Amino acid sequence: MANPIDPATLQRIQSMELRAKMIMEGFMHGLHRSPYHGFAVEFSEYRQYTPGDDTRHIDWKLYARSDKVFIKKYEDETNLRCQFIVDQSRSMLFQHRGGLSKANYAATLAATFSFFLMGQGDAAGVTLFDEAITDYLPARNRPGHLRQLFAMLEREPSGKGTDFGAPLQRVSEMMRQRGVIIMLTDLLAPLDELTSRLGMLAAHGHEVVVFQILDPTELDFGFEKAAQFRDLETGDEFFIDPVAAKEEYGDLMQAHIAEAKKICASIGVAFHQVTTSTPLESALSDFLAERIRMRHHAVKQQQRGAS
Amino acid sequence: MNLLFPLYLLGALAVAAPIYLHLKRKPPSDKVDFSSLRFLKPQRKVRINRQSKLEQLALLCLRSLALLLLAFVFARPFSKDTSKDADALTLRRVVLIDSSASMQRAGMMDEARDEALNIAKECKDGDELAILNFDRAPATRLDLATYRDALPDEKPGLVDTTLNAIKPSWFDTNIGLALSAAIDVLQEAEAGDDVGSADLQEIVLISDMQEGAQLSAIEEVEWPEGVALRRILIEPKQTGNVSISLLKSVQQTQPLIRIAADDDFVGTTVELIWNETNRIPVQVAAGSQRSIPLPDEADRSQPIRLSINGDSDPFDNQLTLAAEQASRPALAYLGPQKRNDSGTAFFYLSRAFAPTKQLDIQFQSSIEGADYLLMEGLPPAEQHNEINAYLEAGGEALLVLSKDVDDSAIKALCGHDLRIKELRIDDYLMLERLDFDHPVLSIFSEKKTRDFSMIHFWKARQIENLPEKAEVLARFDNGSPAWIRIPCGDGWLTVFAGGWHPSDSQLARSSKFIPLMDSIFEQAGLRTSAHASFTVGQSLHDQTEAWTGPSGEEVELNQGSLLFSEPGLYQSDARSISVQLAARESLLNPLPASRLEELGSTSQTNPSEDRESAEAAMTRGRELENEAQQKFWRWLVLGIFLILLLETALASRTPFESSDIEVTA
Repeated sequence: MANPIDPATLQRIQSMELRAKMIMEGFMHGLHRSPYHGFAVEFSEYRQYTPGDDTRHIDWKLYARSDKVFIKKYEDETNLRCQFIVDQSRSMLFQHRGGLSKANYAATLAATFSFFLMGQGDAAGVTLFDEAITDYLPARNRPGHLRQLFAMLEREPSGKGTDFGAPLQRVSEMMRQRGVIIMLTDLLAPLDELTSRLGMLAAHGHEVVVFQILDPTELDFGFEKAAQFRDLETGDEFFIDPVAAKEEYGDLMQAHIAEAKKICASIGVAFHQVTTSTPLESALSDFLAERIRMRHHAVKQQQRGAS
Repeated sequence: MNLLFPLYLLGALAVAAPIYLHLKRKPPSDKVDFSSLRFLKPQRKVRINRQSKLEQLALLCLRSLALLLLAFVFARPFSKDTSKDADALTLRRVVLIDSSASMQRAGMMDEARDEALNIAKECKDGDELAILNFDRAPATRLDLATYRDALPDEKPGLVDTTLNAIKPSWFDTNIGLALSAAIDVLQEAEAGDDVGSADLQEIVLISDMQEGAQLSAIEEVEWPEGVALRRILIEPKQTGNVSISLLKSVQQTQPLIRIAADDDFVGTTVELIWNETNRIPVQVAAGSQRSIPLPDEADRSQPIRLSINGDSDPFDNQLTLAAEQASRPALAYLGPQKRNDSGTAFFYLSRAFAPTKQLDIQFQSSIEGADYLLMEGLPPAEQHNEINAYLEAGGEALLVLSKDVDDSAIKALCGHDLRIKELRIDDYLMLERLDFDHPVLSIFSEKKTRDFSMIHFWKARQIENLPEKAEVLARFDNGSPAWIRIPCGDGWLTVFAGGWHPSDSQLARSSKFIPLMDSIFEQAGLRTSAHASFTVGQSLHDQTEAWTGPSGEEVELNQGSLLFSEPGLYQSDARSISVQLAARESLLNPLPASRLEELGSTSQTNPSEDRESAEAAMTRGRELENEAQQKFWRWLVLGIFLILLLETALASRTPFESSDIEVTA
């Protein structure tokens, strides 16, 4: 893979479409024999290897166990739908040390995923929310849809607080077909309703993935000077001395993240944490690698169930 | 410890900057936007850590000390050398007070005295002071030695008495002579052994600096180095003067009265009053003059008192004319007396002084009983003894040189070894360098009568080896003397190097001839003009009779010489003479500034004009010298470096960060 594009560099590119293309170019560079098959490919069965088959699909572990060469057969799922739920609350506007804001990062990540998915025939849609759903674009794959999706993602966040309950409830109502739901949020809100709402989505058969996007400063609280700190969502102001508050903040933040992870794990939702300093290609590749690992895990489960 | 530049200590105020910056260390008021404060707790109380404050105090002290020392370095400290004497300067000062006729104006003399008194008060112990007053000549009123020897308590009284004794005279003004005398006083004192040289020398000139003052005497003197000239101008309370004077004219039967107004005269008319009852208005504009004949109805058999009314300064408003008297002086003419030969000198002289009611010159060939002797060419040797006796006795003679002069003859005549030779003249000669200050030529001193360029000489003689006392009245434009006066015994011999008749020159046919001869005769005491007038300051020699002055008191003769010291009528039993103010004394406009600058131009570079500044300069010089020798600033700079090193070390150990602030929830 080529050198990833620095998010700070990416910030200077205004067009979301151009950003997504650049990231994808970097991501695809050198992946001619990529092991990724994407979301739209479902494992269906094994079949006997015949000369001329792509050797990449030989199941070598099965060969080791049974001394027979089998090809993993996949079934294209052309009607896979992916809905991105992007947090547009004011807390997502935070940025420090001149990097991308979380909202910008989330939008770029969603745009890149959509570009990738629609490039292989899947459908992608976007839901923007803060305390309620502010915009909704259903998952489609038709000409011009991608541009419409990019235009929606380019909008500046205008909301205030964050509420997961009502927006997720509404999404579950709107998405009747099975699909993948990727939520891009900083999760800096009470997690009370997260269990029930995400659980409900998972129960509807959706594959739910949560990307927690944080600014590095939100993790290390790397402020240097004591100052009057203002909450971007509530507008509350405190005097904070970073040095004095750092340790306690770190503890509370990590506890919050741990709780979020725990909730996700409990309801079978994939949880990914990225910071705005992480190159977007890395976030994409890490996510896809995670998915392949999960696929293998699922195949094993199926195999065990079959045996 | 003294400071060379104490004002730089103000730089110590810069110490306020670090103090302010250290005081400014308070909880920051910056605002930072953060995504969520849910994991943070508000901190309410902030106070400065006591320990850190102490450390900052040390830094503050070091920084402040460095700044204070820096200011001290710039102030250049030095230790005063007490072994040297105090910077006291001795001043030698000569005060010149104008007491000429123009100072007769109201309040002028009092003001001059006050100024002089102020100058005297400026004198400190050890200073020397001389007071001179001057009109046509300077007179010492208080000399340096008298002032120096007086007790300190007596000095103010001495000065006061001296100044009160100075009264304005009626003489004209000669600033040049006065300055020259003051310079002499200073130079004599400087050269004298009894006192030694003074640090500062100053001449204070207190005068109205009138335009009519004579300056020529100082122009020939090189201004001594180190002598400052302070000019104090006495200004009249009122300006606009009109003067009255008698014009010397032999052409008019009635005397001509000149009324002149200066530039500041604001009116247009003055009244001419004679004998206190008769008045006529005379229109005269500022800067102009009118010449009017004495009205015909004036009785010339009696003295006439004339005055003008209408200007601000009455000092020159009076004129007295002597009663008209017939005069029959005897003039011995040694030479061809051809009355009808227009080629001879006598032809022109006899016609110029044709007999009138007032004057009837008796021409004679013998010297005996003559009032004046006129020689056309050298007389025969047998007459020399008689002529010499005439001159020795104080007689006046005029010798007009002709071709046949030989050196030995003239030596026999006046006793001086003059060399005479015929001048080679290619075209013609003109007159130049005429001495209009000389009484003989003073009648031509006005600008419009100064032009002698129309008189050409075709023949003339060169006179060389002039005696020291000879007066050169005019020279030819080749530098050779043209008209000279040589003292011979008690008398004077006037010599013309060229004749006035047409074969020698154009003089006889010019308008200058008659006034010139008239003036020569007048100087000789002949009453050639019915309205001849003397000016104050002139003398009448060889007087034996008793004279009464204008005030009616008898005038004392000085070695047979009568000095006219005030305007008015001087009378003896035989005759009366009217005396008027010198015309130049009525020129009251101040001298041009540039002319005044020239008076002491070399002294302008001397810083001692202001004594205090000179003393301060001397003190300053010593301070600079002390400081340059001691160079304390080097050690101070070294100290500053050490302090800054210490400060840097301390600051690097205890950096001031936000951790210095202790926060409590």
